[in-house]
Amino acid sequence: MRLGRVRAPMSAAILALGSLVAVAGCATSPASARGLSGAQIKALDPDLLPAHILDLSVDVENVTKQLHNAQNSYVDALTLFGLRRGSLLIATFQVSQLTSLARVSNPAFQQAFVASIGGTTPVEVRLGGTDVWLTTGTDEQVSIWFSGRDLLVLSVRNDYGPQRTLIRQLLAVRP
Amino acid sequence: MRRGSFGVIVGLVLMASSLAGCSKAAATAKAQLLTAIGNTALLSNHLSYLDAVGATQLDVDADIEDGFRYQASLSVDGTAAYQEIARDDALAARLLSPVGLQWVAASPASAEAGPLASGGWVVDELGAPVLTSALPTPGADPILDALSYFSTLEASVEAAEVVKFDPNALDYRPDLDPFPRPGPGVIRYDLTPGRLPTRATATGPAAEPPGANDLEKLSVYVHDGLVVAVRDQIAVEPFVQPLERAYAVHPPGDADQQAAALLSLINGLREAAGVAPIVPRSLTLMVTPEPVGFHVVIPPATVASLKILDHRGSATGQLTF
Repeated sequence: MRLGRVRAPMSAAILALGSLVAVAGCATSPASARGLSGAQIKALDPDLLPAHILDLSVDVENVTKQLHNAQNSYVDALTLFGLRRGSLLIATFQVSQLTSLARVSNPAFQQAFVASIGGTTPVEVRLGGTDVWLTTGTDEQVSIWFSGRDLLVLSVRNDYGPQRTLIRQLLAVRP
Repeated sequence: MRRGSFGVIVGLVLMASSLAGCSKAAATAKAQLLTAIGNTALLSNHLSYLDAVGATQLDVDADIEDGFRYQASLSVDGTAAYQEIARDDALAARLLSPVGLQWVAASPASAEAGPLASGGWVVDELGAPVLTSALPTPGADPILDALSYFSTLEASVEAAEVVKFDPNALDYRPDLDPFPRPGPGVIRYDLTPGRLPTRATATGPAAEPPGANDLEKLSVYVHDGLVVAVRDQIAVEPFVQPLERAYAVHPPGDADQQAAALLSLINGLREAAGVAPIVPRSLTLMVTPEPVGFHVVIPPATVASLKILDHRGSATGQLTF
């Protein structure tokens, strides 16, 4: 297991955390159903990713502070990976296991969540057999997809060359 | 209340409900068409894209594996001109005729001596175009036009009123319909053209000359919820009569000569208004599914930057790790 280093994750990853909370506010689930607080969110297996992907080293990020304020969240468990070249953070990869309150297979739910991330209207493409939404953050490209009950959000610096190869490799991740 | 006015009210109520029905049907047709476009755009398809711009005929054959992988070839006036293959970040390209550069190079003259001059395959390992970002104006790069056509079409549909083709409709004019009728099981959706000027609006200080979308007919053919063909035409021919009425002219000659004269009249007005002339255009897109398991492969190629190509290429062409 790799030790998490306390670093500031990229903005889109934090956005994704925030959206998972915000979306819960407009849930189609019964009004009595409540999401989880940050303290209830568990960590996922940190060995989901290998130690290196392409030319990047992989570490688990510490997101305790970001999760601390979360309330009414759709997330059961979450891990944020940082992908670095040397000490430079190139990308973050957030894997979130959603609660049963989240209607993951409902296109309206997916679109509501996806629309809440990024600075441009998300564009949907199919890569292999997976539907991926592409959008942009501040100086970063954001890719979002669902796998079963899991939500995966990849944020990559604009100046990283093989962005699409990186997405393709991470699409193979099965939490 | 007089009996006559009661009749008028009943008539208006009937008309209003009828118009509401039309509006609802148009909204339904638009929603159905947008769904079909969205579903088709995600699939692995072969696109046969034929774009006749003025006197030039551009053919693009594209095989799409998925959102990041495709192979495409361009022919110009029947001459094989250029091929490219994108696989994630990598782009391989081959120039088959110098004319190809006019349609894909950022600066065709300077690109002639570039890495594609040998006619062999060249690969830029980070050079694939980003099809989801801002692309050239439609008409400038036929390969990118073909690959991004469903996005363009979606925007056109969003902006237009959509009706299902109905040969029995009162306002259907077969003599002004440039496109084939749908085959069995196929639904044809027609986008209504923009508004042509009328006699009252065609002249005067506030008059605006017609735009390309005012002279555009666009029909989408859908089978089993997927787009199978698109036909798009910018031409004067279907609009000769309303244009003659608007501008109070009746050019001599046959239908082609009349259309040419009216296009000349419109482009004269556009030139005076400082806007680009309208170029007649006819576009046909045929969509067929790729065989299951279709994959694109980058051929053996020389590694070099393909920055000479518009919206493609990286600084070095090399992936350095």
